[in-house]
Amino acid sequence: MRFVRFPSVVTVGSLVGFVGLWFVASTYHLIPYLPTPIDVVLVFVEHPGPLLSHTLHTLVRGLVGLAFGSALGVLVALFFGWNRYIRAFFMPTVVAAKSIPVLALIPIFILWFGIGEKSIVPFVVVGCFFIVFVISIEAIANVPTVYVWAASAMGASGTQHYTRVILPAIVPGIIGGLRVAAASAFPLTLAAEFLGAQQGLGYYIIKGVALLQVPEMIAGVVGVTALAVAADSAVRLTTGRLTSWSERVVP
Amino acid sequence: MSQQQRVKIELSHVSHFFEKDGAPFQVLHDISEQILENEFISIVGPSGCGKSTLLYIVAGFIAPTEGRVLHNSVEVQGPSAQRGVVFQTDAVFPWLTVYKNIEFGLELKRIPKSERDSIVRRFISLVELDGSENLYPKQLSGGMKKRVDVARTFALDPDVLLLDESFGSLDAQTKENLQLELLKLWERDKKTALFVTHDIEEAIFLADRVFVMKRGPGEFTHKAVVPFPRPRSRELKMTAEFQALRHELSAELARA
Repeated sequence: MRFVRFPSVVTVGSLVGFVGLWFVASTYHLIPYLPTPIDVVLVFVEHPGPLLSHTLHTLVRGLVGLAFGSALGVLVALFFGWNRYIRAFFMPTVVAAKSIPVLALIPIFILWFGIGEKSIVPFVVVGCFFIVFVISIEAIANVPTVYVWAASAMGASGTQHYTRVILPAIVPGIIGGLRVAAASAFPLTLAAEFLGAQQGLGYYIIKGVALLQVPEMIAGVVGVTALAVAADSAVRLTTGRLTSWSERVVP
Repeated sequence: MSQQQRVKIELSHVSHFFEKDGAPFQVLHDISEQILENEFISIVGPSGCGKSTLLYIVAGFIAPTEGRVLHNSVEVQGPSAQRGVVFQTDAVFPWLTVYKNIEFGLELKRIPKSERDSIVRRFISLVELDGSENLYPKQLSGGMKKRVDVARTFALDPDVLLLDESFGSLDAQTKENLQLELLKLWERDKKTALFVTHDIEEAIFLADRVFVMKRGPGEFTHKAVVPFPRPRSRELKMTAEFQALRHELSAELARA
């Protein structure tokens, strides 16, 4: 029992310590423009309306981008995994494309698609696509040869290798990719909102800079963090059963 | 070896090269050999001598650079369910339960559900895994996983059995138990078997004939007939005759 409780004590202790340090640093002005934790909590309590409405915008954009980007990432990876000729044909382009820092695309997307949803959602789609695609392709490449050999020595055809060995073997990898994408979708949305939005947490934080509303800015950071954590947990909880066979312990 | 026994596996001038640092590196050199029906052959050799490569060539996973392998006088062109393989590493599918792992190949063979079920249950009890049907491999010990691997290979009733250092990763006690279980399964229908190992004691205990392989490049340097009657028990390993053969092969292996 002691061993079970021990980590939670440490976790709670570190949180208390962090908030304590924050209190000291803000009360004695060790860091300029640092509001106290109470100031930030007050934003949530006293003006929840705007914060909530901006969070909702970020939430919807992030979710739509996450859904389409992830679906596309998995599908394209499965298509590539099917056949080495397909891979040989497309892979150089993809390798080149994935080296592009995604954030550099924001201004270009704004130019191409305009301000607001029209550029933010496609940007999040592209960001999530590459995360899920790269992790899924790696999962396919990492399926041990011995599984494929074992299946063929039991009479599996080429198609059966794919449907009965590769596909089940990569499920934990794909879910790992979805979790990374889920945690990244909202930060990506936020980055796009810094430049090209009139709503959303990114806009809310940038507006805070202009008006020097520091507690609001930090509340915005807390909001986007909560979205990312919630999305990651949602994927983890809904897919837990699919990966229960896996040796890998995923926190 | 009676005269009526027909040739099951024939290796004909098999040579194999890997690419190593951009240059061809010879792993196997001109191996020709006949393995008869119902024979149990062990191949011993130092690590890196190419014995596993040879087994993979017989299985059809790798095409030999030169020469060919005949199975029932037909050239091996690729893997087949007629040649069952028990691997050195963990090849049991981790996403399937014990039951589903053993059922896997039977399903591919389109054996009807009820018949499949009786085969799976029979082999589960033959390898003493009763009660573990619904466990996943991560819940099993190394020895239990090997049992699943052996059971799923035998359940498919292949014509030839290929075992690649299958018990190499197990502790001595588990290894001996599995050797006995393998022999018990093998005695039932005496399939032609090719067992690759670096353990001389294991090689002798299981086989009718032991081939010693040298490395750089791999070829057979010595062949010994194992004269001990079957069925064999673990006491055989303690006899003077067994130890004498073991010493003889150790000397051959040291020279290899």
